[in-house]
Amino acid sequence: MTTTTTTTVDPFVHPALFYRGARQYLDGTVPFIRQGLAAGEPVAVAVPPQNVELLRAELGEEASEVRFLDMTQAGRNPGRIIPGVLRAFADLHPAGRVRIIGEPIWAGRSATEYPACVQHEALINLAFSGRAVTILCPYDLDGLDPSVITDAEMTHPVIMDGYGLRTSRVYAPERIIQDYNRPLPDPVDAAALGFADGDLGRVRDFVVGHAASMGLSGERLEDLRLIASELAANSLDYGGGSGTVRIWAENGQVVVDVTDAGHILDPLAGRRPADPRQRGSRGLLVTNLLSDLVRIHTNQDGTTVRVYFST
Amino acid sequence: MSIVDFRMVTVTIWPEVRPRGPSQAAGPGSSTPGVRGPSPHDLHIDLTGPPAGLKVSGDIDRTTRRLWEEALGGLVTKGDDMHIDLSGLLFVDVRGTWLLTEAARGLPMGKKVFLHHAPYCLRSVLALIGPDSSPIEVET
Repeated sequence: MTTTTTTTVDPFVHPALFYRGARQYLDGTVPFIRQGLAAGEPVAVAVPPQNVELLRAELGEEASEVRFLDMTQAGRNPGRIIPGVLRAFADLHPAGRVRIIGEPIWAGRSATEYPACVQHEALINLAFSGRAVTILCPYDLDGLDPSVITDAEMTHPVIMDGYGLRTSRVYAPERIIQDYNRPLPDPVDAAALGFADGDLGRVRDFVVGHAASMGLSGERLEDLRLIASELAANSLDYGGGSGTVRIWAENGQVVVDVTDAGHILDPLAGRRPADPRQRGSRGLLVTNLLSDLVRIHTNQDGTTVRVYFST
Repeated sequence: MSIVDFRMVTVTIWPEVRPRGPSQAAGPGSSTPGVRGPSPHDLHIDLTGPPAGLKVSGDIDRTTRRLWEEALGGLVTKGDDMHIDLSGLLFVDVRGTWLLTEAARGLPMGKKVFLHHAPYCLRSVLALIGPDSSPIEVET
């Protein structure tokens, strides 16, 4: 009797590119793009604007075949990148392999943003498992802290650098998701409002009134009104039926958070594009799509979702 | 009895006093007077037409959603174009906008939902959650 063992290889490929300087950047990314174009694969590049220009110049006419995005805009909130950038492009091309260069972590990302960035990198592995997609993530060895590079080795199964391609020996995305699920620092001076069933209008008025006095206006004020209402409604539906909303100003941003007794168990909550035909909550997805930054701390004792809006 | 059996009936939900359980919005008697009086976040829906439509004012959220869903459902059963005047709409949440897309998908082939005076809060969410899948015309 013969036994056949079949090994299933995940078609999703997620290498990190560790580079020093423009030459190594181009050496790592341009062949990746050209191989994709030669194979007829759709290619998207979502990187900071200076690297968009670098690649456009190097690719010449071929650049017209590539979808370019400024990651500092499209991905300023890391929680937006999977639904709004990566899946948005990959889902347009369901047949065959899709190639994307995604650079969500650049020198200048703040300490407040970084935990959301590294969690995003870890969650990509869950979000695209089983999909014929390759996402190459460049990391600037000169501009980024060594601890960022250490984390990148945990969030990427494959590493590409000046020495070639190698398998990461410390790949552990679940550990990164867990390690960066940290309590959020309490604000120094926040206005707070407790809410329960029937209070959503009060929550909206409270947030909009304070945010307007802090300088938020126009459509961004309306976006924040919506998000405050969605987060509070989530507390009523999934967070024990009540919660507390707080608002304060911090480094030129309006910050709002909602705390309740719930526990978010799905690490990809709010990061999957919603099927238009499916009922189901879209509140956290819209929060990710509209906010400049979303930070979440969740465990069995409760959940805080914190959103940042630039004024 | 469906809400569409009434003409130009203003139905109001006062969130503070709305009882739990099945919707009370199926007739004129649903405007239960409340101890705290009207709220700025009430939802008012007038049936209009012909052509069949709704005139909506106030807030659509978790508290008032059922009235909105039932009003849309009543119009869908008519199977004709729907005209919705949103000039008085102050707020709509994500689910409220999704219900509009779902109603539009429930219309017979070739029929559409026409939105008049749709505020930013509705247009922005409509753009985010996939307007392409629904026959909705937004009047600009």
